[in-house]
Amino acid sequence: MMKNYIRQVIELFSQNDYPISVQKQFRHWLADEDHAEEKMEALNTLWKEADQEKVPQGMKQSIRRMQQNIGIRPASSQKKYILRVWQVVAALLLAVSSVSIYLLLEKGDFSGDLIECYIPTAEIRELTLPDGSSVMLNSKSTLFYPESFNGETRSVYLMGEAYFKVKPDKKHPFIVKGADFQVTALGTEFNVNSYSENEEVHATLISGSVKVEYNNLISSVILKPNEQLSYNKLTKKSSLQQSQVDDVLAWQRGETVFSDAHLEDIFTRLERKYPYTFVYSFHSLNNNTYSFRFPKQATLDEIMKIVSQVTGDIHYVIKDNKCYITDKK
Amino acid sequence: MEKDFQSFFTTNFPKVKNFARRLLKSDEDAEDVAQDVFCKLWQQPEIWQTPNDKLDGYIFVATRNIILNMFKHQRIEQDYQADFAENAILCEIIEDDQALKNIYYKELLMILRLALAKMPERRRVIFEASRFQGLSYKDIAEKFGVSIRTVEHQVYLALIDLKKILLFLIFLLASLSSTLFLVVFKV
Repeated sequence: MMKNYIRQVIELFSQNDYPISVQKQFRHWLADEDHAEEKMEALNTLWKEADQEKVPQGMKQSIRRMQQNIGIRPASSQKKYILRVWQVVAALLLAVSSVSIYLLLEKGDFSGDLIECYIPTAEIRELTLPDGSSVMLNSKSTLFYPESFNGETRSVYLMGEAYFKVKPDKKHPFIVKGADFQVTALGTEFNVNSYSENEEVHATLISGSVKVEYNNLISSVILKPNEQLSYNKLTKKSSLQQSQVDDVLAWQRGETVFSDAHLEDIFTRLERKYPYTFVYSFHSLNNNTYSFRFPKQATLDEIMKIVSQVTGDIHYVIKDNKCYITDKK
Repeated sequence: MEKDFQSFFTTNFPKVKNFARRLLKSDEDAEDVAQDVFCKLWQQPEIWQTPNDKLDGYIFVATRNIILNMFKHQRIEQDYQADFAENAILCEIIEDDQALKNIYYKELLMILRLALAKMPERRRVIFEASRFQGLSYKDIAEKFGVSIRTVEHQVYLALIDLKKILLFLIFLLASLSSTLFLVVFKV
């Protein structure tokens, strides 16, 4: 299609930020009936471009909101509350892949009432499971567990990150299930990080021994202490490495540790820990990776000051509950 | 059914939200529009339950209509003085005092506004003081505490910036249509 005035206007407007007054003029112009057909063609081009862009931030919240809109999932998840099994199944049908659901139901581990525990942004909570095992749940994580464990296994379902200290019981293996993976333990300590918006799942063993099954449970590996398995849900690639246990568990001490992380991942994690939304365009971020360690009491402003100094090419402004990132050009 | 909708949502939501954000310039508004689109679709399972090649076009039209409807209901204050000044600038840049008669006058005007908004702050303020408020270079120099030479230079640079964008486009379109003509002629 020939480049024309209409396309030029839409292209210029869509690629830059403009003051409200100009935005209003643009809206007025676009809604105007003149050249309506050419405008629609140009919008169609923009639509095709939108398909090539990255998945927007906050997909998890969008899914939650959609679920509420169509009346699938109860509105408030801040509190602990009891759900009937069928309600959980309905919620999980939307939240996880069909494989996990199958696993969840197959053995009938979950009989009776399930408890959902959701930890909001900026909070960490420790809870004790019915068998005496303890779990430390990181911000924006959800754990489903039964009111009592009476099956052959002790199964829980995790979306997010948690550290488990499992009460030894060789007859009843302890299983953490998630989308496309599960960790089976006897009596042991381990950390699982499987936020649904992340491509990668990480399981780190602190002590004892665990079996990690992943990739539709086709692959499995037995971890030794200090080993970490990373599995990419999209590419299906996995890797085993020695982990810095101290870094892996830093979140429990309230510390914020990034190792070789891209800016986008850093912002996604800060969004979980601090009640601020990050606003930025992907092309303003460079592709380097960074490592940082921030103490417990660090404020978002202090963290961002250091991040922007180290990266050198971004500016940040914290206003209301947003953190705006811009190019330093 | 919920599961089908979930995967339909996950596949198509990013595109809808990205598209809306490009036009609405606000993350929250884009989210609202996108949620709105999918609420409507949820009620029409016949559209998304069976995969078909019209689906994408359907989502596009639904999204576009919601956004255009929002835009249509927005009132804007007409500022005749600014309109007059904008017209004068256009005539000056494209060196045609009949700019208003161009069938793409409104588009030229929009490109002018977009280009002005992206100009370096100081240059834009000086240019607007000259062309919109009609101040003399001497008045502007005093107002901003700079030399008259600076004001002249900044206005000159502003005109160059605008010409670059507008004339380039006009030239591009003109040359495209003349090539088209030549080809036809040869045949």
